[in-house]
Amino acid sequence: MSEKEAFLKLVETIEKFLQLSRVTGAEKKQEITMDTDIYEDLGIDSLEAMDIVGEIENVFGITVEAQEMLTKKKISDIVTYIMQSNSSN
Amino acid sequence: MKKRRVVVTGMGVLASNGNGIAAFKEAIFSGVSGIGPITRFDASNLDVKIAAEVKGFDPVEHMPVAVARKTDRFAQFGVTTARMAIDDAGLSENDSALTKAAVIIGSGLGGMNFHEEAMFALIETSNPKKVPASSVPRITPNAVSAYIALQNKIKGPNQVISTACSSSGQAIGEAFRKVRSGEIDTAVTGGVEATISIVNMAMYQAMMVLGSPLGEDLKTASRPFDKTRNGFVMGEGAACLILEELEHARNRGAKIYAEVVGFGSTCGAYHMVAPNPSGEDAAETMRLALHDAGLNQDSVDYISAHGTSTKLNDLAETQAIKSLFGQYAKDIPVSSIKSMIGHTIGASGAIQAVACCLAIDSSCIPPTINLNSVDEECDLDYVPNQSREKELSVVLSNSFGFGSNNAVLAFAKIR
Repeated sequence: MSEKEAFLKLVETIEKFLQLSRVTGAEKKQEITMDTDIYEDLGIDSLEAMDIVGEIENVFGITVEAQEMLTKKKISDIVTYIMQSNSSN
Repeated sequence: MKKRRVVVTGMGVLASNGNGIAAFKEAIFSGVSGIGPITRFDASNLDVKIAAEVKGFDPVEHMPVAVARKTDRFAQFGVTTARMAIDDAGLSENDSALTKAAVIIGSGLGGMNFHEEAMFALIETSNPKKVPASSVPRITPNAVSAYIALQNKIKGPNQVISTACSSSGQAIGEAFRKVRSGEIDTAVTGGVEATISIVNMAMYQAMMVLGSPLGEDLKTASRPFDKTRNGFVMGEGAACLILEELEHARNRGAKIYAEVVGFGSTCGAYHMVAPNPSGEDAAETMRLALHDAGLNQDSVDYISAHGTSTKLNDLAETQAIKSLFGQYAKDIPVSSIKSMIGHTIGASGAIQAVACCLAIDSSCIPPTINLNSVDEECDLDYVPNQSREKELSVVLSNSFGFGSNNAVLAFAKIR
């Protein structure tokens, strides 16, 4: 999997999560780039981050160290972490 | 020592017949109903397919996307109406009047919508891991008071009171006492409820307490005190009020809608869902509110009734008013705004409180709509179908909840 593929898959996973975790019906999307800080820019909190780690494991078919992953803030860092986990799994 | 006086200096409302104070005021004095077909989910399997839904509410217009995403509709209603009330009162963030305020909100059901989603996710997949880690802070009833505090940096006492249909009557009463006692100078108080979900509707339908329209016009389904009434219409909505100590409000030149002068709170200890037909507990609660206000029975100019449109409530409430006020009962206008906005459960006392303040401020009584067939046993002046202009000095607002839980608030024109 290329970095770009991992990025697109990650964005899709997070967007789907943000949509699913909303009971509001409001459809406004938040744009996600490699520079996006998921906590600062998307307002994701630690509980949501735990849910997203679970989704990433499902979607990428990998097992991650949740505690370590939760320290990654930027999308680019998460992509790098996923790429590393992918090759070691 | 002289009692401190407590006034209402800001209000916000979301109701099925109007969002915001101006729209709601226009609607209740014009007799506009917010009742219609259920649109929030597919109600085709329910017998009861009507409700009073809040319309055109987009949480993202009222709070950051991240907050909207993490909150159930009930908490979004609270954050929105609290903001409206704070803005209306002219209070600003970091002002000590706000940072030291209490937040006391009523909610009968909490985060029902998300709770149901979490249950369905688990049941459909038999996988407990399908329940998100972020579920608890959405569902917990105090999510509403917590998010109001978080969004506005309000650091005083923070509570949610849950006593079914009287929740927000109790919440406003407690906030009133805290301001009057001197514990705080300002409170953000009110009630919220987001009731239009499939499990909630199914539960109330099963209890046989929901009413049906007369013929094709769905808006006739809620007809308090009418001989043909056969149940209430489930409503959703919210209202928040800013309560403030009188001198505090005057010193900052705040607009004053009305004064809160008394609060009565009791439990009838009679039945989990049925009211005592004698109305004796409801009468006692009204008496306590007047006693708390230091007012006589004959000073009451209007009663905003609990008036649900069920056979039992409306009769028991009528009995209560007759037993407390005697001969004078027939001279007091009594009306139910539930005829227009259905029963908003934990929000109903707060929305009524807003209606009472508007009534006092505008010298106008909102009508009981759909009242066309006289019930011989309900023989008071229910202000049928048309609003009525009248100077109002003292107004009572009744809230009677399941578990025989009663709250009555007394409001007065500021002198």
